[in-house]
Amino acid sequence: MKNSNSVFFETWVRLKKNKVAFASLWILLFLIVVAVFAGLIAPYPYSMQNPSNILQKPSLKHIFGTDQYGRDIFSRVVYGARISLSVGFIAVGVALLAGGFFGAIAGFYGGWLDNVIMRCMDILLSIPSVLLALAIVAAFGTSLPNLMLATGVSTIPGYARLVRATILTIKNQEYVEAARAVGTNDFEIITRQILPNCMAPILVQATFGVATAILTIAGLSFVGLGLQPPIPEWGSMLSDARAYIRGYSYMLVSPAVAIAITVFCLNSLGDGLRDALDPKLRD
Amino acid sequence: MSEVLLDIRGLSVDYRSSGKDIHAVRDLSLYVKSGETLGLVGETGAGKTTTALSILGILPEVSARVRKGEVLFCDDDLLLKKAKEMRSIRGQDIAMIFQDPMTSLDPVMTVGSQIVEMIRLHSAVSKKEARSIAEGMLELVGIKKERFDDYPHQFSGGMKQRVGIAIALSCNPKLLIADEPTTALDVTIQAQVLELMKDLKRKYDTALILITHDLGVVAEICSKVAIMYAGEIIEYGTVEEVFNNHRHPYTDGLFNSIPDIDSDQSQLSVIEGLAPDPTNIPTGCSFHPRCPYAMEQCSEEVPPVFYVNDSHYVRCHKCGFTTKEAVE
Amino acid sequence: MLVPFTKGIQPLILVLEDIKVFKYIVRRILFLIPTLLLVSFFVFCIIKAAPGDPAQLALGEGATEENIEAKRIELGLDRPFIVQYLDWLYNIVFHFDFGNSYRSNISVSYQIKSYFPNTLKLSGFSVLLGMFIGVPLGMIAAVKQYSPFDSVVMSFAMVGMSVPAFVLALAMILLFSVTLHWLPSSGFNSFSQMIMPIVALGMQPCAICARMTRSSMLEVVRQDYIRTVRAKGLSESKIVVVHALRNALTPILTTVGLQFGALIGGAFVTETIFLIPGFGRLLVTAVTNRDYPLVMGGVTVVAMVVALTNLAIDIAYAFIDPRVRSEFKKGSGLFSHIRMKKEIMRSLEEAHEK
Repeated sequence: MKNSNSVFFETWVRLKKNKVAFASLWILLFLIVVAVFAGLIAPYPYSMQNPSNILQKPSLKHIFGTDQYGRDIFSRVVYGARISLSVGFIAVGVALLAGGFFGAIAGFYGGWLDNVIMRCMDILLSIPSVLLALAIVAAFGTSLPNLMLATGVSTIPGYARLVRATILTIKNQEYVEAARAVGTNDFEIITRQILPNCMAPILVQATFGVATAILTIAGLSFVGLGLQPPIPEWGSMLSDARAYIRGYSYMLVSPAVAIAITVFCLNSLGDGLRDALDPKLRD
Repeated sequence: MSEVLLDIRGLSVDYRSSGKDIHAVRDLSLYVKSGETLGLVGETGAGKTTTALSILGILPEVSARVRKGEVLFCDDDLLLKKAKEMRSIRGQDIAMIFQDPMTSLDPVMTVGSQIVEMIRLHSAVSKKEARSIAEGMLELVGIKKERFDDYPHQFSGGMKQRVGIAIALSCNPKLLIADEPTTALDVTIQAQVLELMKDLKRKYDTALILITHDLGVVAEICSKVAIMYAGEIIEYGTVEEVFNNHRHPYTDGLFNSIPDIDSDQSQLSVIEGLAPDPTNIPTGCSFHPRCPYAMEQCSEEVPPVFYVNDSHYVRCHKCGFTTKEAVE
Repeated sequence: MLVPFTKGIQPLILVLEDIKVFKYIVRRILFLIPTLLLVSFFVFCIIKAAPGDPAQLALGEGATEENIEAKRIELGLDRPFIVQYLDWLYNIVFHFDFGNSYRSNISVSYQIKSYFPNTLKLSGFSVLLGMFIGVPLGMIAAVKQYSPFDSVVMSFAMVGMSVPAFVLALAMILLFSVTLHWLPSSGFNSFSQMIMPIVALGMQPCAICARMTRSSMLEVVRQDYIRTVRAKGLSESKIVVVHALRNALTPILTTVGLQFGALIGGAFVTETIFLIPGFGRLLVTAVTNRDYPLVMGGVTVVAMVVALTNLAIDIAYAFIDPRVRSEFKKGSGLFSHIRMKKEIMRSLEEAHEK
């Protein structure tokens, strides 16, 4: 087993070689900072309406202009970053933990438990993800936790399989038996021996997962089934902008570019990570 | 009256990898007369396959470059040929059998159609005629012609290699290059495939370059042998000469390392050291770090070609003596 | 160029003549049924778990207690859970009756039947567009690896994957309808109406197909048998089309199938933007109105279509890859077709982008 520090360092070096992925990493970090400090960065509260200032084109006072209620679009985009990124990360995080948990016990204990769990996963896989999200929203409404569940649920089988596969390959290897012999309990074995080995592909999947979650939420919000106004989700902002496309097209640009850049960076980073973490060295 | 069919002169081939140049083949010269069988012997990484691919012109374009040399086939330099001309030579005049039969055949085509493809590529026969020729080839290599429509995964390794032989010989090439054709096979199958190759060679009078690292195979089937080391041919001659009167310390080491069933050996004798890193070939004679007879000269000067007699040459500074004499 | 196609018909005949494979196909279709049953049950449970009283929702506000109670009995909501499920299922299977929409009381299956063809057309054309542009681009990028063409194509593919369809749609409307007045911004009947939604929706499948084709081809072109074929003297273009492409086809087809399934589910945003009377919009309206029969019917139908698409792809494998035909004969478990496909997907993701 490799020293985890050296793996991290190696990965970092390899990632640096991929200029697009490396740049994407920094852009994403920047976006995360923006999201965290949205309150400080945004000049106006995102829901502050100003009827005398509606539909203003971009100016020094309002860098991205104002919308049909006079709200500052720049502030809304900034808060939107916080919304999208947090929903994305939490949805993926929850799915990862749930999927990882189920995959772990399925792989570790095997037998009928394994069968049942994997059949459930297969059922989840057979329903297209957006549809599942729609069904959940239909049933349980559009509150934030529901949306996180809706976007994340269909990715659970992916993580479950990953963890289960790792466990199956490692379960019978000698160092696990050695750890058992010394008296380590199951939980410790899972966390110390198994998890480090599946970190890499999980990280790659999670990166793509956040991108997909952001797109799903944006799509749902666009049709009104996601986060409700006045929450400045980029998808809802696009939906608003659509009504004013003739004549006020600037309203469209900022949320569209925000989504595109965020998803592009996540995808590029995911790609780069996958290449960098690939044990087979490239020529 | 056999004329020289293939004449390689001073061939040098480089690979480019992560910015470094790997000298896979260095100033290599050999010749093969028509109907002759040349064994090309060497360790993995000595440059044997690269030489073979250079003859056919199918080196990987992205990383490989022929730096210099001539590959004369019937007095025509293949390295100067245009792509279209080479394509017509491949398969028809020069054919190749590859090392790993498990992965050398297209999995989604029937074996029969793969032979037919070769035939129809080089001769204007109808589909029906091509099929019957292909069936004939299958029978020739010992496969029932009813298996024409079977897929590669339905055959064992040995049989897949036979299919490879059938494909290679179907257009009756003048020269056949076999790259370690039996290495990936069981010993018993090896013997069968070798027998088959001997038969076909006799029948078709094809010249053969047999690449191998197994001296026993060379003894069975070859009339001439070239020993390769680190991209160079360090000894070349008839099988009798090289087997009984080898001059190069490396060749000596190779023969000594074959366990002798008659003698009482407690340990296998090996050549000390490891084959050189292709990116870092030793100066002077590339073998000098491992050579028990190395002198100062060996690390400084590249050894010249020394002709022991008309058909036997060696690249060694000590070449004037047999290795026994060199000790004294 | 016809060679690969005529060569493809040969295995088709072989497959159909092979009773074992035919039996496999029938078995797979039969196995589809438990899958769909489980999916429908799952959907039914989710919907039933929703808060709120459907009877009240149907009647709207201002309904009296008696009205609500009567409506509940009318909708059969007083019966046990399992009975409700089985009854619903029975109606679907034997009458293709999903009940009536709560809102409009129009038959759900009628609504689905009216709107689904548009969505099928939209998704179908988008995927086809994606395939016919993406696959050749991916092929050429693979053959010319490391060339400027390769980098450009891959960059476009990355961008294409990241820009969601609705953003592209809005941008196209802005450019072509609002600014240039070349194309109409809604409807789905004439060619000029259809072209923008199809291109917008087709961008992502195109990008993904291009990437998948490229990585699959790169994987194949490195194989030993390509070297053998080259040694035969075959021309590069024949090598790529006749040998490499056929071997690379399996994961490409998987991708196309998955894309189609994803589009059927995800076309609703594009339909909303272009005001296309399609199934996606219907579903969104149903969800917004909490129109449960419509939602359940819609999701089940889509799941069915997706499952059928996957089945079609799996059967297509048999035509392409003879090794798969042998695997088919060995038999399969309930979900092994999903597993097999996921394995192919996974092994190709690992080989991605080299």
